[in-house]
Amino acid sequence: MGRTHLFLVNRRNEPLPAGLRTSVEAAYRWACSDYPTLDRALIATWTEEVGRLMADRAADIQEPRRYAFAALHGKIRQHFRSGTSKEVPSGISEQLEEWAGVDEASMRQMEQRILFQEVSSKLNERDRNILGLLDQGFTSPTSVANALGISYNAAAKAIQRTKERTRAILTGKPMPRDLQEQDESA
Amino acid sequence: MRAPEPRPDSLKAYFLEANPNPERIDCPPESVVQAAAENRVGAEHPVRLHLASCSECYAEFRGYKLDWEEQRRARMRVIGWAAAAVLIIGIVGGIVAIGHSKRTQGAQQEIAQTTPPNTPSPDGDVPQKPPQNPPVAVDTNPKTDHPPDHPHSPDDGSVRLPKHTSTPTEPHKPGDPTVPANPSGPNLPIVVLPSVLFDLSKAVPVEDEGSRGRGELQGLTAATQNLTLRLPDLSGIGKYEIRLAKDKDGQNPVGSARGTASLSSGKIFVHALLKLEDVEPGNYYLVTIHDGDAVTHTYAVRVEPRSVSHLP
Repeated sequence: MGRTHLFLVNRRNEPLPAGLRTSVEAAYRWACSDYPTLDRALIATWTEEVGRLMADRAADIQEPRRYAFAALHGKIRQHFRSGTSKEVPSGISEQLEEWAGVDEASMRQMEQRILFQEVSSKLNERDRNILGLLDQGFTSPTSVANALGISYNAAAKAIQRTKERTRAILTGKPMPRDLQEQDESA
Repeated sequence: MRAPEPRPDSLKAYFLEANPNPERIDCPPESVVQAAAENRVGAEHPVRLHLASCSECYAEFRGYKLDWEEQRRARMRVIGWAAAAVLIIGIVGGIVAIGHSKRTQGAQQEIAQTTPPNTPSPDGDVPQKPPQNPPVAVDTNPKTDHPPDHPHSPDDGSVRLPKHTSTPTEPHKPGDPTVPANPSGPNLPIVVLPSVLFDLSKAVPVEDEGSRGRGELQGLTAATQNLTLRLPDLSGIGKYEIRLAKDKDGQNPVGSARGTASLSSGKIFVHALLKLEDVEPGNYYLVTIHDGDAVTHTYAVRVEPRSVSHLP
């Protein structure tokens, strides 16, 4: 289990100002919550690096919380893309490690990225917007209709089709022919 | 067959990673993202759809949502403990009160049994009943706190202003029967100023003219303006200060007003009463300053001379 205490100081080992500290700690809490499979010690290390970086540029930073979130998010993405090895490879993982420097965790990340690319390419903008509204808790056709400026009935159909298209992509099954066509406008 | 629901963590992972926007194009202020996370804006607000297309803003949204939910849980814990404490105090207090009542009744019964009625006191007087409380007169005339000339805003955004019977340039003469003794008197006639829509949603701020080109110069009138400003989409809600100035920063305003931005049908409006009677016609800058995060936008405007129809 990783450590959870943050050592937020600047390059001279002085504590960060309260405003920066609050922003950095909020970013850390978010990263721990939304990336539960990542080692907390790793997240803490990145958070401390972000804190030092923000302390160096404190005078230029207008929105410290936004900066902290973007910086930590960038470090997490960079970690996933670089595929830093943390496990001892064996079997097929060992061969992949030898060929491409990719471990099992990185393989999962690559598969996830490919899946996300497929979702983005096969779902149109309306479907992605509907998924976004569902994720934010707006599951009723009334809310979706208000958000997209369409009728209630069109929203209800659009929600159903979006779920079916998404299921088809995630399960790898072919999409039904009627779902391959664009939604009719409301 | 009904399609299964997409798993929440799959959706979350998708929106966190699939829409990188490092240049933060079209991103709203943090206050708007926070309002979305705390459910203070509805599904029709443009930020809801932006979150589905910007991973950076989505991450901020998740952070604000996490903090808000933790605060809610903490508040519920405090409320729960307070309710339990009130319940315990109530039960204990009730038990004590019942016990005291029983003891008092027992003592009274004992006194009644041992003391015969109308027994004279040692000095010969018969004890009398204590006198009743005298009746208290209650003032039933309610007073109004609302001043009669308060410029309250009806639903249509119009503003009622007190109309003085003399022109502003004439001095008030003492004892003049045409001028009410109390300028705030209830009999003062009022004039309704209609709301004027001033649309900034398509305007180009001066700070963006380099990349987006110079926008069209909008016009104001050198009079009291009951403005309904439509702000650009994704502007923050909350309190604003509106300034009219000759300089781009608005540091030396010739007129200013305050208002609160609210969302209506997916658009953001702020009402402001801007008094420009003493402003010379010409080119100015209209500066909007958001209280929450001090975000400032400046727009080139032109003040036109006042026409007769604008006189109150």
